Amino acid sequence: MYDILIALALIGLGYFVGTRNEKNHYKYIKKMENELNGLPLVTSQSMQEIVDIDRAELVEGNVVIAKDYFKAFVAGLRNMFGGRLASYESLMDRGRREAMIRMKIKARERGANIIINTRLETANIGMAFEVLAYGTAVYLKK
Amino acid sequence: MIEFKQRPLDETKNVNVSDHSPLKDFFVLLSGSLAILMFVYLAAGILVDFAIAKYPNQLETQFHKIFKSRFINEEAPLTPKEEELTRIFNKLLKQASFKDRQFTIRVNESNIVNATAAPGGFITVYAGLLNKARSENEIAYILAHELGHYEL
Repeated sequence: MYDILIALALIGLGYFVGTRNEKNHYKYIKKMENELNGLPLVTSQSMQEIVDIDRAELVEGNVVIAKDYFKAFVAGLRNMFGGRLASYESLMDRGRREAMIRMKIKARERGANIIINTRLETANIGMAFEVLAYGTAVYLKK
Repeated sequence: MIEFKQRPLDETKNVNVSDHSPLKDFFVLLSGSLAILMFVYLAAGILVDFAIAKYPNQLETQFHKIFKSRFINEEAPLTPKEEELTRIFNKLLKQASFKDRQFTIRVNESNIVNATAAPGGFITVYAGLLNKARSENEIAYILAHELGHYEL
């Protein structure tokens, strides 16, 4: 009996706190994306035209996001029936965007003009997952 | 160099996240899985009731043989207590409607007050019950009850 109560309490906690967390995170992400919009980020492997490059270096941003019990519970049920696992989709989306934001912050701090050859990697850490975004920050000659 | 024109981000809808309401998902999935479990439980109950009624005798004897070989050692000689119980039991067996069955009475020496009937005609009487019994009639009553388990 107590097991069920504890599980329900965790699920409730996960839902309320987790949803608030997610909303706040999305607000932050949108704000930062707008702020960093001036620093372009592309996936092409090289500069498309001949330009004067001062230097180039690797920049990376990573973030580790944990899931809450509510998401995990719904995912467990959903795993039995199949279909889109929407509860984890928002998790992954936030992770990707936050990682790219962090990479842009790092590049902007150092004065980069463009980030090329951007790649994303995901890894599992126990119950959480990490997203790493890395690319080449290019500094053009003034 | 291609000029970079900064455009404001326009995010009305996030393509990467399905349109869903997490709470509704949760309730639908939970009640769906509970409903399926209930159904399986009820269906299994009904099917078992059905199957037992149609159980042919041959199948039952086969099942008894398997149970016998796996769980019970029938080679050991009967103790005096067990012989006594078998004597009482055989008197009852004369009144029973099935003569073609093999029965073995065993006494288990723990102090549990109980008696069990297992497939293959193995009746186990626990020592605690024998100690509590006040007359041969009481024991005969219990053995008759166990015998009744085999009646179908």
